[in-house]
Amino acid sequence: MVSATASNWFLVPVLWSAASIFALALAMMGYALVLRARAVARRRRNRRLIDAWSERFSGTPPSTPIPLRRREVAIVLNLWDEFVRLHVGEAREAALQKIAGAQGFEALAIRLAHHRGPGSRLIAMTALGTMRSRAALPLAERLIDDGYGQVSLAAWRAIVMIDPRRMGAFADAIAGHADWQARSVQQVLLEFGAATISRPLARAVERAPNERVLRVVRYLIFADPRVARVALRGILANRSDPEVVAAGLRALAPLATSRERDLVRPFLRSDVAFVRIAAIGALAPIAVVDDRPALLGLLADENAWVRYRAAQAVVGCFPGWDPRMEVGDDYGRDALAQVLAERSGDGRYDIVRDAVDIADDHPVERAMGRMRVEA
Amino acid sequence: MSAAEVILTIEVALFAYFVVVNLVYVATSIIALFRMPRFVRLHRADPIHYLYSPFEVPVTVVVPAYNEAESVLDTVVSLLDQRYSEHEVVVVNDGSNDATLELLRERFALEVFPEAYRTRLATQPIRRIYQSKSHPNLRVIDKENGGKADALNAGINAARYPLIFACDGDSHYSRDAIQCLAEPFARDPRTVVSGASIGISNDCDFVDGRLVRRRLSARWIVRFQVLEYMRAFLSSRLGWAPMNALCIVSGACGLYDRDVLIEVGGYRTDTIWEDMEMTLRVHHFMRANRRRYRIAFTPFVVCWTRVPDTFGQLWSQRLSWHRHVSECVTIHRRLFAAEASGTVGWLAFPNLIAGEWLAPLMLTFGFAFGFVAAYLGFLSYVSQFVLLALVFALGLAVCVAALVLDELSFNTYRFRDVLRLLAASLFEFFGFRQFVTIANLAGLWAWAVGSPIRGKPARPGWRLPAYDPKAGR
Repeated sequence: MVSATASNWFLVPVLWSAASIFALALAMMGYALVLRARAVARRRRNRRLIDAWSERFSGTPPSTPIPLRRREVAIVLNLWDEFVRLHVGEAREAALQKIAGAQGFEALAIRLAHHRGPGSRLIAMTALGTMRSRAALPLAERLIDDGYGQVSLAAWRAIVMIDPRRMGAFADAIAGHADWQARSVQQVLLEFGAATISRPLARAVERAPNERVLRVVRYLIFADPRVARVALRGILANRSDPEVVAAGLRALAPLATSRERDLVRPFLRSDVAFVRIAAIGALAPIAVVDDRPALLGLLADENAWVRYRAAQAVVGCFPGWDPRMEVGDDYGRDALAQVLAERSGDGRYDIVRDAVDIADDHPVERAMGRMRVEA
Repeated sequence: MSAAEVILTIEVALFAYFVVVNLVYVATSIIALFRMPRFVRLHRADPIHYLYSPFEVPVTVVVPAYNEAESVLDTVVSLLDQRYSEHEVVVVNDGSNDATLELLRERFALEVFPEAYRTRLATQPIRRIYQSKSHPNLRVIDKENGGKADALNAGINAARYPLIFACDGDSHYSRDAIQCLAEPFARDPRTVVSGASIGISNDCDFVDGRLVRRRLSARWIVRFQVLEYMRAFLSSRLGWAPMNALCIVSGACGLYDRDVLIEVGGYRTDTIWEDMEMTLRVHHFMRANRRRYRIAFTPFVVCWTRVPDTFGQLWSQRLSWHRHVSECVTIHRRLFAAEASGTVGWLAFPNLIAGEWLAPLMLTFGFAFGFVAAYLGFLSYVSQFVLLALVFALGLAVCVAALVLDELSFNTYRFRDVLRLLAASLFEFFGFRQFVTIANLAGLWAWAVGSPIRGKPARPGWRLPAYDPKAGR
């Protein structure tokens, strides 16, 4: 008897499928080899290209325009952009801009920006922004709605580089874009400088609704401190959403002056733990002796992070004063011991001896005992 | 029903099974082939350069170490030297009997640290907590032995930061490891877990914990595993990730939202491994509680680890892996086609059951059936040859697709190594796969009878209670 699957109606298509898939696998093997050969050739070619253009960008510019192949445009534009960023404000920057003009980089970049690949668009928009190309403005306006966050950010950067008056619209766009990476936005803002970004950012903070203001408020640390403080005072006075208040307090921490002290203090009593943490952070740099009781009180907070940050604030704000004898709460003393130990990195502070001074048993054992209770 | 009809039914069922299983691999490979070029283009072309940023979410790296004296220093050095704005490293010495703790104490100037350690997840008792005097962001927890999962739980308890990077004490990490893993968290706030690819470090050269030269091992057993890893990470996981249906994030290289880890009850200590169970638990918990979430995967190779280079080691590893798959299927059985379980419950989990868990049984049954049918005179050698040829061709296509993906993206190996891997993809079907199948079968047996391995108590795996996602345990 012969197996049922031996019948032709079944076997022939299976055989053909097997043969086709095997042929496909062999074709893919060949493709893998071709890809590798192309990658090796491309790497060598790019190396030579980068060496040659690096020499031109850092030394004597070419006297006549050098034609670029299509595949070379993105690499050379990217390299040019790198060189400009390395020499901002130096005489070399002007020379690099001159090279860009002589080589026709602007036209090449505009053509590159029409490519399908997001990488090409990103490189082109970044270079056009660095060139401050007015001809690229309509294109940049179109690309601010690009599906790739980095491309739309590069388009906005180009627009503001070309016309700094558009910074206000950019600041509003920051609030609207959840797809922009914070570090990229940060770098773009640093590139524009505090003078350009301060007032537009502050206005964007005022205008943005609660669910969006978080995206802008964190960048106020790059603005002019006076402008940023006014905006942050507005947030703390007029907004009640805990997330927004905490973000405002966090942004205020490095900028706070004694004028903000009274504004920050009430938030130490917030019902929300992360607001209390942010308030401690904002108050710590400007705390005075009057704040000591409130901070010591927070050492007995139910939230471990609040205790830890309060301990950091107490130890940091009042050097030379040993707060441990005034703290009745065991958790608070633990937090203080931890912070004191962290600050004694060079070994001046004998953490075991001092911890034993606080309580008769070893602190780790004591913590262990608590762990059992908590568990 | 006549004998011929029974044979026909079984043959068609087996044939359909192998074709469907391989077609799932082909489908994920096709998705990966479409995704990879876009992914690589976007990451390579970004001229808005990396900058140390205060906006990156701080990460706690947890390194469980049990008798890792040989490798722990290299691992910790590679983790301390990360290109990331804020991270701390918590090494958990899980009751090692060797010099692990002494080496750490000497190399990083550790001293006892009076830390208020909070037990959010129950663990074996903690003996001491140490702080490094030379590296402020390094702490070492010395605890009683309780296994890797228990050590990870202790690390989670001690973590100060909101993201937990679960590592292995015997792997090496690239400088961008945390950066690559944390990126999905920055891009998509729904991300709760992210994983990355793992490379094989056998015969590679490392200096101070950093990979300086990649080499393909001369041993065929390692080359076959290189192909397996490429298939698993580049074809399979990259294909499942866009559907938010990744069933495993490797234990050596996964970044987790700490609050989610605590909410789901931390790592289970009664399973033989912990990575697949945790990934499935996060899916199960999030889906059952109707929360929006994402488990992301980045194909960059950020972790390098050694694989078994003898058949004895490979046997133990695969036995324990398959036992873990069996445990996961048992624990999360309610995820199968459950209401609102989405692509995980309706696609990935059924594929895990049919394509991985039951695969050794089906393969063994297929071979046994072939022999019996041949003995009884029912077998057509021509038809068997054709069916095997189809399965071989499908398997080869999936394998080569993984190599093509690597060529499209990372060019991990040199040209001559690529040729060797292509040769290995042809020979893998003759001996190696059968060996792995038998080891998997042994893992299935170990799960069924509950034989004690890796220090776990003897108990049949099928007695594990089903996970209750509403209760979080």
